[in-house]
Amino acid sequence: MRNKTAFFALAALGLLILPAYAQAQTYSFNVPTKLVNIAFESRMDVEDILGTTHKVSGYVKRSSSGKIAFSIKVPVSTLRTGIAMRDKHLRGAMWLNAARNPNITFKGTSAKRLKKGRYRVWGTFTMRGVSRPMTVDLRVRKIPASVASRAGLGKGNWLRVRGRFTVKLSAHGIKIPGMAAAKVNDRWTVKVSLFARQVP
Amino acid sequence: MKALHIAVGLVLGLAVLAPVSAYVLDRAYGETVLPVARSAPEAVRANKALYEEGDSVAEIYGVPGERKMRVIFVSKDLLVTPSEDPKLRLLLINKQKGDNPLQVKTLYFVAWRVTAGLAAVSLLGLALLLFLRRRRKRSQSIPMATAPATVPATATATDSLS
Repeated sequence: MRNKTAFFALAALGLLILPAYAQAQTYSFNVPTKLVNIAFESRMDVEDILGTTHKVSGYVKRSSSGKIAFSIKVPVSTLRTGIAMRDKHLRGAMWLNAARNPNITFKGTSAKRLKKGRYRVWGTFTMRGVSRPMTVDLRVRKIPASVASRAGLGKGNWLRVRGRFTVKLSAHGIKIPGMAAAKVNDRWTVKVSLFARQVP
Repeated sequence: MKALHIAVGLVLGLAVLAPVSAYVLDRAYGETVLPVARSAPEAVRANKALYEEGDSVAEIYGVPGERKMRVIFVSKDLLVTPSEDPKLRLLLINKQKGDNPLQVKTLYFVAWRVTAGLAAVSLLGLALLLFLRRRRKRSQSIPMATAPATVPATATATDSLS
């Protein structure tokens, strides 16, 4: 009799807990700009160009079936390299053409957990209106509410997402002009360090 | 001519001096640092709280560059030696505020460009000097070859008399 009661109690508890685990979760990257740090880098013999943006929007969603969707959007107008004239050129028609293609986006359509806190995301990267398939390895850490609150991030559950990938400019229709060829690499490294807040 | 000699010498001297100055400046004021796109204090606090042994120390403070670089004339306020790894020298930069430290490799690039330019100018100067010297020599030797001293002065007189 006692075993039977215990079994039913556990089953009831399981029914209560399981849906919570299977529940869809959405984390938003629409957080204060101070919590966004995206850096891009070109290395050449003449100089290394390092640039950043602190403006991003997007989300990471985990459906009840476990499927992960990832979306991120960066406005080209917010990219800065430390030299105003260079930034102006970067936004220009020869380079990122911000007037026609104001955003750089990455949409992750599938993901695989590699190990604890490591995910591989497959998706499409769009820059200058040209889309290319891309695979990005991400390091994801859950931030306990207490830590987030103490650090000044805000209330609720948070995630920290870090990742690195390379972008080939020529693959997105950018032809480096001869006079900049010694200074600008065709391959840029992009690193992201983002915080995302769980959407209730 | 003497002024041209001095000018060519000066230009040659400057051509040699440019990379030497770059080297001296690099040795005197250069720093090997890991550039880091600085994160806000809130992010740094969260990163410190989440830091575990084996994690990248530079990532606590922001987004680190791929490799170390040598920079020159950087403000000491931008340099950080993290307590988690005192061997690291981080250069915390804020690109949104226009931080753009001068890189030593850019300094050398400019210095070698200056040297190449000045060397070209001094070569032109040397060529001009040689040309002028040769012309002067020729102008000195021509009057000697056609000097009236070779023509007997009396011959003309005799001819005219006959």
